[in-house]
Amino acid sequence: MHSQREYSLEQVLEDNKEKIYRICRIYAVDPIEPQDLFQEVVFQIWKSFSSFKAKSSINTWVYKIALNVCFRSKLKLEKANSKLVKLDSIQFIPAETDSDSDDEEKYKALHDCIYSLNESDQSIVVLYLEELPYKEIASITGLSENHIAVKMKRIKQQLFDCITPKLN
Amino acid sequence: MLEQNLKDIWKNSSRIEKIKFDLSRLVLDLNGKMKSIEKAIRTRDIREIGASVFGVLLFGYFAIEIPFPITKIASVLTIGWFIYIIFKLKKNKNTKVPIDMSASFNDQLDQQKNNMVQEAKLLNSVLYWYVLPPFILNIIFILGIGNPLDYNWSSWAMDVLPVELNDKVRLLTLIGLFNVFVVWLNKRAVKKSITPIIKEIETVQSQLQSDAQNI
Repeated sequence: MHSQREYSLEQVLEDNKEKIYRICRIYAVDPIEPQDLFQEVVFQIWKSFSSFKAKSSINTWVYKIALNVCFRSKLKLEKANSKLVKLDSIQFIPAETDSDSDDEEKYKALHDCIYSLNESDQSIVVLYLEELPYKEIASITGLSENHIAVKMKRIKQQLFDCITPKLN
Repeated sequence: MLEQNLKDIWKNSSRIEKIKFDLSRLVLDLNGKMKSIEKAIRTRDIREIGASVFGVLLFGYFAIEIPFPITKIASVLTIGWFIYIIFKLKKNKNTKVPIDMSASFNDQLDQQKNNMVQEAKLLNSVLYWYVLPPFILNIIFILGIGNPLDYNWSSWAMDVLPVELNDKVRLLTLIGLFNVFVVWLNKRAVKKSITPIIKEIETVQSQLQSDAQNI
């Protein structure tokens, strides 16, 4: 276990930016963009960073914040996105290499299938796709490891049923 | 195979954009945003408490200046009500638990729901703590206004305070209608904004607990 002092904020953000952004892409619903959500997650990580205690790994902690912030945006607690934080020091640059249209289609199919799941299953499946062990998913969601295993069996089946015809 | 394919599709999805931090500016930026949020909260608090402080000063003036005993008593009681409102709003803010974003998803849902339920209770009960007490005091205050000549009293306040019964009834009707509107606005806010959020949280909570019978 590590304490917060062993990490710098910059290091944590740099190491986790891609996974945070992947989750934000699932939860961003018009008019909120994934970039808006990403910035809000960064803001919350910065706000909570001093209170990070090594009860869980830093990765688990980051996932918890990302998931909570992204889900909270869906509840529309703030009017429109007026309270979402805009940070000019974070830039989103389109990748230089031409993205493969086949990859894009596959991602769109996966995105649609995740979106067709209920809210709770969505939050679990993104963690599963991040290749987190059930124990860590259990810690992030607050459920037991066995409960996650049972849920994942059903969710995987739903996901496969949805995506198989789309990928073939 | 399919499982690994899906994980690969998922992981590759973040390649479409590169995220760059300008680290020298990031903390400054974050601090700036924090300050602007805190300023907005402070402004809202000052606005809410400022209205009550204005009420205390106005009715303090009435309590001293107006010679009619019943109206004087109503003024003093109204000051007491304004002070109660300041404490009530402060207490409500203090009892609201700040959402711990690093809590587990399940715990965070509980915290969100508790805060929403508390907010709904406060707004649903405005009739009893925000509308009825001052309305009763308004009635006593207005009906207590006597004839200034009997007290040999003259003041600018007599230009705005109703002396004739007709004027008193008209003013009380207006105040009553305004109070009905305030109650309606608060009930509507609960129905349109808060109840749907509570229901959505409860739905997700029950989804999370589903499958438990198969463990």
